[in-house]
Amino acid sequence: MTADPLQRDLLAALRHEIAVCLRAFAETGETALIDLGALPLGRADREALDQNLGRGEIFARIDAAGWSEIWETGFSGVWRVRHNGAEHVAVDQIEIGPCPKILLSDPRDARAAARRLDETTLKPLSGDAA
Amino acid sequence: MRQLETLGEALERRGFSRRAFLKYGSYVASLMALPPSASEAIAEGLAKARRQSVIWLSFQECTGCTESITRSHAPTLENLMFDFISLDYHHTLMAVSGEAAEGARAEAMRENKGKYIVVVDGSVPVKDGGVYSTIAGVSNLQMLEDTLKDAIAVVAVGSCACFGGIPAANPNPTGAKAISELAGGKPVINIPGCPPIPEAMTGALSYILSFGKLPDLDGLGRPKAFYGETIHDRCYRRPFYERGLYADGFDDEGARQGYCLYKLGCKGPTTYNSCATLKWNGGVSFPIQSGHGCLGCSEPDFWDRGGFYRPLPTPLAAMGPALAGAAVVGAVFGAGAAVSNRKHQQTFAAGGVEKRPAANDQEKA
Repeated sequence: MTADPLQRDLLAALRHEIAVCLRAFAETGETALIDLGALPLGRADREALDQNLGRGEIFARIDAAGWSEIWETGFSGVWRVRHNGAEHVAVDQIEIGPCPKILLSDPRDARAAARRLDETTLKPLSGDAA
Repeated sequence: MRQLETLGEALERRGFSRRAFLKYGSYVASLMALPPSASEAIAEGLAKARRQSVIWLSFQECTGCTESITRSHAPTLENLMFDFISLDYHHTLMAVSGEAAEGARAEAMRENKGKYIVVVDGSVPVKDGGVYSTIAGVSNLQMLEDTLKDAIAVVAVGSCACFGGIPAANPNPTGAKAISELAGGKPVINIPGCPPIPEAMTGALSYILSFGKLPDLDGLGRPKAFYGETIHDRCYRRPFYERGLYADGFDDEGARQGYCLYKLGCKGPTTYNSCATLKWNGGVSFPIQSGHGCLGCSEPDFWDRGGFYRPLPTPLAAMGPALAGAAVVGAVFGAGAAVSNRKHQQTFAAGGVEKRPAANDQEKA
C-alpha cells in the first residue's frame, strides 16, 4: 500500500465501498460502477489499489476507438476497466457485477453481423464454380 | 456521412460496434463527474442522434482555442467527437476560401435551419460600427447576428468570446464585447480559458448531443462539471498552502521543494477551472505543476486584475494555523474532493440543479 497515511485512509475507504458493493451484488445481483477518475488518486495510489485487489482469471483487450484493458481482480465479481486515450488513461473504473457491460455483444451489432453473415453465406465461395 | 442516418448507423457502416459509444459515454461521464451509470444514457443518446451541424466563427482571437481543440490527431477515444459533429464552417480549418467558404456557411445555415450550433472564439468589436474586424467584407457583429438567427445555441470558447478577453483589456480600443452580450437571447455556454481545456469543449458539446439540453451552468454560464471548483481546491500543492509553506521566488528553496506559489501571484484560489485535474497535453502537467502560478485565465478580466505576479489580497495569516498539520489538511482536502464529486453525481441522478456561490462570492470569502 502507499506510504502516505492520508492516501492509505482514502484507499481503505475505497476498499470498503468495493466490499459493500460486492456484498450487494452477491446477495441481490445489484451491479455497481466506481469511477476512479472522480477520486483524488495519483498513479501510485492506483498501483497500490491494483496490487491490493490482485489479478483473477480473466484478462481482455478491446480495440474499439482506442485500446481498453479489462481484467477480473482477485475478488470474483470485481473488475477493473481501463480505456486508454491518445496519451493517457481516459477512463479508469471498477465495475462490480457478473461481467463488464462493454464485453457483451450488443443485440444491434449482432443483427448487423447476422445480415453480413447472411450475405456472405449466400455468395458462392470462390472454389464452388469449379 | 449521409445526412439522415443516425450516428449509430454511421459508425456501424464504418465498422464500429456499440462498444465505441459505450466507451465514449464512459469518457464523457467521467469528464463531467456524472454518475458512472450515465455513460449508458450518453451512449444511447449519441447513437440515436444525427450528426450535429456546427458553424465555428472566429473573430478577435489568436487561434489558440482552435489549436487546443484540435491538438489530438490520433484516431482515439477523445477525438471520436469529430465523428459526431459536422464542422460546416471554420475559416481557418476549411480547405476552401473566399466566396466558397462563405457559401458553405450559408448552405449549412439553410439546410440546418433551427438545428445548428454556433461556436465562437474571439470577442466582437462594436466600436465605430465594428470596422476593426471584418470577414469577407462583413463586420464580426453583423456575421454573428446573421448566423445566430437560426441557431439553437451558441458556445463561446475561450476567454475572449466569453468575457472579452485580451481584446477587451483596458483601454479596450475596439469596444470588444463578449458573445453573451450580443447573443440576442440565444442560450449561451461559456467555455473560458486562454485557451480552454479541449476536454471542456468536447465534453460540453457531447452533453448537448447526448441529452438534447445544456449542461448545468454556473453564474457565469460555465459548465459546472469543468468550472465547479477552483484550481486551488484541487491543487496538489494545497497542503503546503495550508501549512504556510510558500515559494518566495521562482528559484529559491521553497520553489525547489514544490511549495505553494501563492506569494508569487498564483490566482488558483479565485480561478474556476479543471487544469489541476484534467491537466494539459494529454494529462501530462499544468502550469502550477510546471512551477508557475495560475494566471486566472478562465475568469473575467483576468488581464486587468493587477498583475500576474502580485499576490491575491488575502491575508496569509488567516490561513495555516487553523488547520495545522498536513494530515488533517490532506484528509479534509481528499474527503472534500470526493464528497464534492459525489454530491454532483447525486444531484445529476436526481435531475436537480446544484447551487454554489458565484466566483465573486468565493473571492469575498
